[in-house]
Amino acid sequence: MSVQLETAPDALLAQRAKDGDERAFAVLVRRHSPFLIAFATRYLGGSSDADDVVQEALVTAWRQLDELREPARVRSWLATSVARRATDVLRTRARRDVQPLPDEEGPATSPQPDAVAEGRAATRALGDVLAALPADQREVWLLREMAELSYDEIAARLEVSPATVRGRLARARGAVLAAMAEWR
Amino acid sequence: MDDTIGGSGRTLEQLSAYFDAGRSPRVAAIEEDAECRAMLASMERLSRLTRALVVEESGAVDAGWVDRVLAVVRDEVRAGRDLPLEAIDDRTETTVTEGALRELVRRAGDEVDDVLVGSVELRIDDAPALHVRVTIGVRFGSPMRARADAVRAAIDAALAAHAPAPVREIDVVIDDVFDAGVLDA
Amino acid sequence: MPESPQRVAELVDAAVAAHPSVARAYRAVPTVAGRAAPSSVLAHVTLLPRRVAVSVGVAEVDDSRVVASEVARAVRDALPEDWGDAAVRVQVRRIEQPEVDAHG
Repeated sequence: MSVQLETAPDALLAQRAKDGDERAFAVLVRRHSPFLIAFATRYLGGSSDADDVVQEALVTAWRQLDELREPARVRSWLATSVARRATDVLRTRARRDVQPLPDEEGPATSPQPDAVAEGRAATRALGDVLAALPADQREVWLLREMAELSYDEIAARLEVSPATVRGRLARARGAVLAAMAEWR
Repeated sequence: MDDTIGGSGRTLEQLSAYFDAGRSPRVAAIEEDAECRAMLASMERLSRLTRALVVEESGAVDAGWVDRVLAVVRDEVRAGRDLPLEAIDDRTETTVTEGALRELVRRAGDEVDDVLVGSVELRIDDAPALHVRVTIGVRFGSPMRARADAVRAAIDAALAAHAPAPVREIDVVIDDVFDAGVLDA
Repeated sequence: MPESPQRVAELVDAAVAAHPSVARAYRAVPTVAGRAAPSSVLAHVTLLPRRVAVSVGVAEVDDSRVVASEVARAVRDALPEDWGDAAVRVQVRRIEQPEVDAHG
């Protein structure tokens, strides 16, 4: 019996995709699209452009796979591609009011254990706090905490120095920690 | 104005960078200060919370959407270099693409039980002769040497009718072991 | 009257498609960054200088060198008389398996 591509680790799939294996790339797309769309949605400040942004970023990524240096970190690399596309969209968007995050009132569910309810409320609070951050602080936060990029990689993406990344990230953390104080 | 944390003599920015460096190499002034430790613990909690947020917000993706992405990808064959097959005369030549050979090699290796091919490297030297180097992952518990040999034989057989130059060597490197969780269909 | 590149490409496409060992024919000129002008022909034909390029898939059970050489012959035979000195290139783009993994 043969090993399934669907269960292969990222590094192997990315290596195959680099060599032109579109089936391996398809597995990566299916595996990471949910994360990439969530990331794009946050990066764009909650707009409905996320699907298009990720779609274009994935096609671009396929063409630029030669530039992927660390196959094991393909997820972060894909997130970088999404961030690049999202930045383009943000820049060319006509000046208009920032779209508020869509209301996420789910259907009422049966009473949940306190810990779970508190957990959901905590992530929701974090989500609100992130949405309220200044854009440049939110950007570094997302690139560090969600995309898991290094300071150097973030610096390259944002075209600033690593020292600037370091300072901005610290300010973002300070702001988020202060706002989330009741959850500490 | 002193904006350092606790008695550590370090600012929030330094603490934040220390956190991102994995708290290594260990800085005693930070690790032995209660306020710093509390701050670092909060940063860690925030990272965990962010990961939880990502999981929550990663919903199911519409299959049609994925198919549209893959349709574009499928159309863009990344063929790689053109390798000379035969110079029939001074106006007629045939070639085979690197991409075609890589796919052939990958397929051959994949057919061996318990094996998944990773990377495929092709090199043609001046002889001309073809050098092949593949990395493979092997299922844990499977006999490694036997699998590597089987892969080599399969690649050799597959290339016989398609290689642009005689095959000089096939190097098979095992660089991954799949645990028992990597199951079949 | 001399044939247009478009007409020559059509002749070439037909010759390639008719060859029994060609599993599949591909567009000879890879799309540049995914965008290429839509074209009804697969062969790439230029007038100055005269060049014909085709891209094919060969079945794994066949021999790429043999098939490519035969296709080159077939393309030559299909060219109009005044294209005798044209450069011909046959590229094996893919080595095909029977359609089991068409949509993996």
